[in-house]
Amino acid sequence: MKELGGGILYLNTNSGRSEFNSFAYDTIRPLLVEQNYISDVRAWNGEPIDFDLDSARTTATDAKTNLAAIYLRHFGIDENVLDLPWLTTRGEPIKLHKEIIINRTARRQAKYQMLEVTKWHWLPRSIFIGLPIEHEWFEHTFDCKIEYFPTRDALEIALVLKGAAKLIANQSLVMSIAIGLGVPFMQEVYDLAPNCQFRRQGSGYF
Amino acid sequence: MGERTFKHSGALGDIIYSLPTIKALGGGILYLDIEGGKDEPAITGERGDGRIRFDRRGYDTIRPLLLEQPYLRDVAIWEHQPVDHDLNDMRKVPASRGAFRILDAFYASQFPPGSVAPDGPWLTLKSQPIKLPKPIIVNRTGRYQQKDARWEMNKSHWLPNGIFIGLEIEHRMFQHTFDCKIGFYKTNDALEIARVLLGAKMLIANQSFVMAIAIGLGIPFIQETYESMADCVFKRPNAQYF
Repeated sequence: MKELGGGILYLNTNSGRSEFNSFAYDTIRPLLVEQNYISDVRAWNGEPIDFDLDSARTTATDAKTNLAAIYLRHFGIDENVLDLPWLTTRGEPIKLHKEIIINRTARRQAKYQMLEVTKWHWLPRSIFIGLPIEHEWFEHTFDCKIEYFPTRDALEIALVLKGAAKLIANQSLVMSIAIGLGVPFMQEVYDLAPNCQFRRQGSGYF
Repeated sequence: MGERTFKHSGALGDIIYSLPTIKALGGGILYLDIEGGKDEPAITGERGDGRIRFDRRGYDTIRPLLLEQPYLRDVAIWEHQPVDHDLNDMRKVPASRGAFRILDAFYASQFPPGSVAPDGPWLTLKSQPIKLPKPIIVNRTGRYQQKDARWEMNKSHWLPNGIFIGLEIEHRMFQHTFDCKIGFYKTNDALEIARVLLGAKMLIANQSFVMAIAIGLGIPFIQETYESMADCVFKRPNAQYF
């Protein structure tokens, strides 16, 4: 969108897919409207549009194609732009009292053991963000206690990430925001669909 | 020569996979260490935090199933008495000896190099099977998940005929992960899990304790294999892996 000159983004909350509904719209909108290349974000009710971003899905040849590159490729844009962050925030970063942010969603889990054998290095310096059930599951899976910071929307997630030294997460919404912001991360890669890898200094994959 | 004695410090699945070795050695009395091997670096070192995976609750869970095995005369809490076979030695077996599967590692720790562990079932039940209203049993634990995309693709085939067993939190997380509803059957111990499995047509699960029992019983299963440690693979005509 940025490379195409930006504009109004319409989001379809009635596609029938449970992954994106009005709750998700309310979650992501506050972060999107902070981007200087997006003049507004609205719910789509059949208005005509110039670029149908859903059509980019046909470009993906396999599950390993970088998710951001799919859009660039579909609209004929140089993929090297992905080497630079594309998200900004106007608000002050939220600095929690621990420097590492942890997030692990239910889907795209793949490297439990790597987290298990290293957890005592990073857990004491970490706070979990995400859904309450994800926090509960994380504590259950790794037989540990980790503080939880509830976030109300994607903008607050971004501000928390901006205030942190690093994110450790799987291929989640939180990870995509960190990548977009250029916040250092350690990513648990889902080997069946390793499609969220970007060149970022201070970041790594396991 | 008196009755052979064995010692094991867990965890639950590992105890199940050690049984073919105990059986091949002639059976006897199995002592379970409810302190989970807290003083054994080979065990605590695996986690890096010194914490254990087997305690009194685990003992109470697994004992009823173990007592049904004809090659185990008794199962008791280990009180530091000497034993003939310390099954914890399996953790010292290098993978280079071809003992990549958990079951093979137990075997290799007690038998000369080159000995081959049997691939067939090793659990039997005296108790009756429990037949639930649906034929497929589903279980997915927190550890060893790697293929949610495959579950997602197949859930419309599997889940209408499925009932979930395991912990209550595992059931909630399964429904959250796959945005679905599936019935839950609460099991009280490993013997009840085995009876439910024996009454079912098939198990679909990851590399869990429930999967270990299904493999031990020889019931059909579809396994979500954890590629980074695919140590629960058995050549069975009724087994599938994804």
